Amino acid sequence: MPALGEFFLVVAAVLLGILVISYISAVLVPQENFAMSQQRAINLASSSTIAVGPLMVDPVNRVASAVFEFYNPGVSTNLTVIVFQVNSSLVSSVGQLVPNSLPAYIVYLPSGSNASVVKIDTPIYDLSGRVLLNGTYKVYTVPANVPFTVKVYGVSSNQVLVIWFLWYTGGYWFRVSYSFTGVPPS
Amino acid sequence: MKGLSSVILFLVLLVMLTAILIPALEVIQSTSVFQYQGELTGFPYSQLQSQELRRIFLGNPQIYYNSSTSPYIELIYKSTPYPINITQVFYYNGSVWKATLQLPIGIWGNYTIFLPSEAFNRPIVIVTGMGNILYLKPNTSTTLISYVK
Repeated sequence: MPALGEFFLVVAAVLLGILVISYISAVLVPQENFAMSQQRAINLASSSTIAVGPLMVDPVNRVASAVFEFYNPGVSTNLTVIVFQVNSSLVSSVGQLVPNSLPAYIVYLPSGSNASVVKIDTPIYDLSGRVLLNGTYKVYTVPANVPFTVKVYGVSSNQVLVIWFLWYTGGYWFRVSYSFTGVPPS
Repeated sequence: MKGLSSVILFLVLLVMLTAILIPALEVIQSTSVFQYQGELTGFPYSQLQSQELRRIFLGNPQIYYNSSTSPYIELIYKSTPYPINITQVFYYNGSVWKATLQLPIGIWGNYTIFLPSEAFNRPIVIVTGMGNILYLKPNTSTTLISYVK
């Protein structure tokens, strides 16, 4: 029965091919995509700086405000901003800190209008590929190279404000830069 | 003999199939990568940035913030003017930093920037074109300020 044997060979070859292709598309391609996204985020982070203004706190209403700019004249992209306050004693480990919940805050562009809001519901990675935050957040998006104002509620003057700049690339959110600012000496 | 050759044929077909499809799949899935390559050839701008900051601290230009009822910022060059750009000036209105400039200003000589009267006796920050932020309290100048970067 040579015809039947050949038929099984065809079936075996097709099945094996499907198996190999599905493995590649399910495992290898996402892995490579993530690695390339991570590389792009590292590139952006290494060529950018953050300009940080002093934190001004209204102690009565516990409203704080600061000016920031994500500076990289080589790109015109949008960055997403997360801010949260921590006690100033934690400043030395500011890169490791993650917020339990985000404070109420507003981001203003220089024109006076609010920055556009985006929703994040996939994990936020740091540049080494570790998950920093995994939840649903409504955050603001600002253009690079434009100074903007952040107004945060519920901040006292012994706290510092931590800012994260997130970048969406290749389907992943990366924290490309972070910084902090505190109340200046009077 | 005929059975054996068909086995070889199918093996060859299998190898060809995977050899063509795998690279094709990779290329299709990762074309979006290439559009980023051009825009990310970054240059170390931080050097220019710290040069600008250093020049301002050395008084070229000296930036003085006069916070009277008609407040203004004065940029005074005492040596060969080195151009700087002021992207934005913010003043603190008691709860939030407010932007004052409609457009960025290019400066290549002594210059005065007038601020709205609400800035009277309020701190300001000046954002330069190189991405430096200068913090000025009322009636101080850049040779005296503490700066944040």
